[in-house]
Amino acid sequence: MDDILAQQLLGLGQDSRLRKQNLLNLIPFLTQQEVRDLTARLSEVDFRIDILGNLPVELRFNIAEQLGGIDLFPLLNVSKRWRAIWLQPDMLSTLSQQCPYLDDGILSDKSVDLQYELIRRRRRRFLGRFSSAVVVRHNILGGHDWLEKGLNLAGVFPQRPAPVSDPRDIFSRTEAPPLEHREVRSSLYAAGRLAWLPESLPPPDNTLIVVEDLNTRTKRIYRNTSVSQYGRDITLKALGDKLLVAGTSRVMFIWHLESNECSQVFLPQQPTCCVTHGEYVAFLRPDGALLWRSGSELTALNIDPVLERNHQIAKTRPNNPSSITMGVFFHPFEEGTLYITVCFTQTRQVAIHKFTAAGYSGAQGIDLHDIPELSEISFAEIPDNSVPGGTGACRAIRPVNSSGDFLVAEWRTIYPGAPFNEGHTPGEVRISGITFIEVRFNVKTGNFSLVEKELPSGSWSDMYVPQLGTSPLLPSWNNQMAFTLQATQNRRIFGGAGSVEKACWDLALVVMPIGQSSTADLDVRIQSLRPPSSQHPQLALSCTPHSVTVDVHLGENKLDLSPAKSLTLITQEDNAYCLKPESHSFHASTELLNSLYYESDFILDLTPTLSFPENGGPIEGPHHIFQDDNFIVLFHRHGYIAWDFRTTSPPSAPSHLACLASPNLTLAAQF
Amino acid sequence: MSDAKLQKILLQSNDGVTIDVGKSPPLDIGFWRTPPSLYRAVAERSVLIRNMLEDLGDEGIGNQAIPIPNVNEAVLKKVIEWCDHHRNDPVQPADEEADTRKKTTDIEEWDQKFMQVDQEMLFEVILAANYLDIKPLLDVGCKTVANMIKGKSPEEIRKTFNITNDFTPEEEEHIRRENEWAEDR
Repeated sequence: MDDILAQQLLGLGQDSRLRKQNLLNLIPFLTQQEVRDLTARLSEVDFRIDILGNLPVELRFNIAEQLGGIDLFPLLNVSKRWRAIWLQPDMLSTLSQQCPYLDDGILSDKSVDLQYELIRRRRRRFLGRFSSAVVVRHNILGGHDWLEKGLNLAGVFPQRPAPVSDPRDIFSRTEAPPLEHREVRSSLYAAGRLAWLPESLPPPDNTLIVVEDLNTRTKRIYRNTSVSQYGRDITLKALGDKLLVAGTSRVMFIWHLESNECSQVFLPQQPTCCVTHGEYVAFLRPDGALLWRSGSELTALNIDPVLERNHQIAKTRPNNPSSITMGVFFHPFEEGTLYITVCFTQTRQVAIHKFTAAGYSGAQGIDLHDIPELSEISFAEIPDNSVPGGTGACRAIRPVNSSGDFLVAEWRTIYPGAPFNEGHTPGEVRISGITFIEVRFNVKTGNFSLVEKELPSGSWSDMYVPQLGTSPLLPSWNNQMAFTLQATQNRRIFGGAGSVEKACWDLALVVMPIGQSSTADLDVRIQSLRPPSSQHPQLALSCTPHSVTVDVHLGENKLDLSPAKSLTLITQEDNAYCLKPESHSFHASTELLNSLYYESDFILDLTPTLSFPENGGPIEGPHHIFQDDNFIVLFHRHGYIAWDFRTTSPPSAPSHLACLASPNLTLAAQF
Repeated sequence: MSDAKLQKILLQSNDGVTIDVGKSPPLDIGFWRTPPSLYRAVAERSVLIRNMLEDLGDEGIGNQAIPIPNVNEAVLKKVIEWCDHHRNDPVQPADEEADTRKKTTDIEEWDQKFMQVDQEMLFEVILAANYLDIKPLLDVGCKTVANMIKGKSPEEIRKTFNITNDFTPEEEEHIRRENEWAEDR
């Protein structure tokens, strides 16, 4: 048998037809021994081929369509060719339906490298893999006690690797500006910036506004003598990427966050809501709207078409007098384009009116009674004693992802046995079953979409929801919803006969996938800032890994999204909370919580922001949960935690306080 | 009636072999040959062939072999084997596509076994199914490939498909770090 000939045959590679033809021609001339040799040689040959790479482009889509629920990221790291294949715009839009952390649109016009980076970031966000977290407490009332506790809890994670004995050395937090405030009156978030007003300070300090930029970890404090005269009447109205609006009922102060210039605007009437984007601010009332642009005068927006349509819709259902909630938001990618939403809460209709710089440019509507597929969601079956559903319309409309989807309304049904209080203070809900339906509007496509969110039914011990009634019940981002959960009743969530030591957290932020009930193939991941040890909480905190995996079968290189068949939480030596497939059911709520943890994408421990209740009493809930691609911020009355999902590290600690010499700006500092 | 003659369907592969659809092994009804009346049902799993038969009409075909220029003998036999097994499957209307997509990883047992072939054959079967327009077979093939990809690390995928890792050590390090959980620990 000629080696060279054999080599040639084998070298024919992927042209199987030619190879086979050659072989068949050859075999009759071979001796038995030669045939045996050939067989032996052939058996060593590698018949593996890059099926995907060799298929025609259109067939690759067929494969992509079959990938359901895949983690795209590993596919991008197989080879450069594979990365290019998956990052084709068309391919990405196919994959956006298969990969839980992708969504359509925003990725299509980017270069391969940028897309890769975006996907990487989305994935980190989806998996709860934050690169750092900052914990800020606001109740800095002075005194030794605060200093100890405050400094220890206000750490920036991750810490530097070197072991340090004194925890004060490892937190990269500089001295806070000399503010003596205790509580937060109102808070807003936009594009990585947090704005809040401190509560219970004597005048004029009760009118200063703190803006903390999480992107740069800088803090600015805005105070203005003309603002001060309004005292406690000042509230925050809107925060955008460039402007901050605060004011009283009719007097508005608008700060430009880059130039720090302050403008004062007098409105003829009190608006119901206010939004800002770019250099525009819109004020909305049920009978009119005003538009303000940085550097120009207040102008009236003609909303007659909106009012006319409202009137028409009201006429079609004369027996069902409908209450109307009007909302407003700016197009995030087209500066100056504005949408006014009208939500008919009783008749479950939504209309969206678009205004461009040129004026009114038409309306779109959705009537939830007309959609047959919604019958499964069943609005009809709302029991009489349930909490009135259908009133989840929003005024200041929030985006639900970075690709142009806005949450324009949310209908919810809360089933019986659900004590419910609504108010200015954080609500507390006991539920035995809740259905939420998000109505989304995409500014890029101009289409509506409906997303059903569901929680496992059962009696929750306590669940905190921020700002019930005025904002979405469960804030969502990229098809994940976040809410907080408390377990103080018996302080034993997992394992162990009432033992406090084994309660892994007192309060947690749970991030769950939307619209995937118990079938979701996801690992449970727990991110914790709190040490498992209760003996030296402060010290242990400093050595706790800022993110821990809980899935025992997650290998080094294997981040698959397969389910962890696991229910009981066990604290391990290495400070990881570990899930193992063991027994459960101490209590019905335990099981419920377990099922929640099972289905959640990740859980963030909130304990560091909260005072540890000495007597096991309830912990107050959060004001707000803010989130976007880069951050999750949980704002509490006494402070906040911000988890940073950007891939870059936070800036290093500053060496000094920077004071800007602007008359309106009192203080600037890094935190 | 010329039934017997008409039901006989011959296909000619690109390497010149004529295959009688009714004679393609293995037959899943044991010793018995596929009854001639079923040949057509087998062949018509392929939309391409069905259309061709319709266009040509019974007379037009006669005893001629239908040339299948893009598929070789081995692959064609494999495809006919699949069609034979699935000859009684209801024809799927196009609008049910969305439904089938949901059960992504479900491949029925017979199909799983059928797809236990070397990757080259799998590749060729996908191409042939596409060319012959046999949507269910194309789906099974693509699902099989999708299952070979799903839940695997990049290294495992490279091994499965014999792909060379062409990332630079720096890029590789970058990727490795991304996959560590508590990377800053």
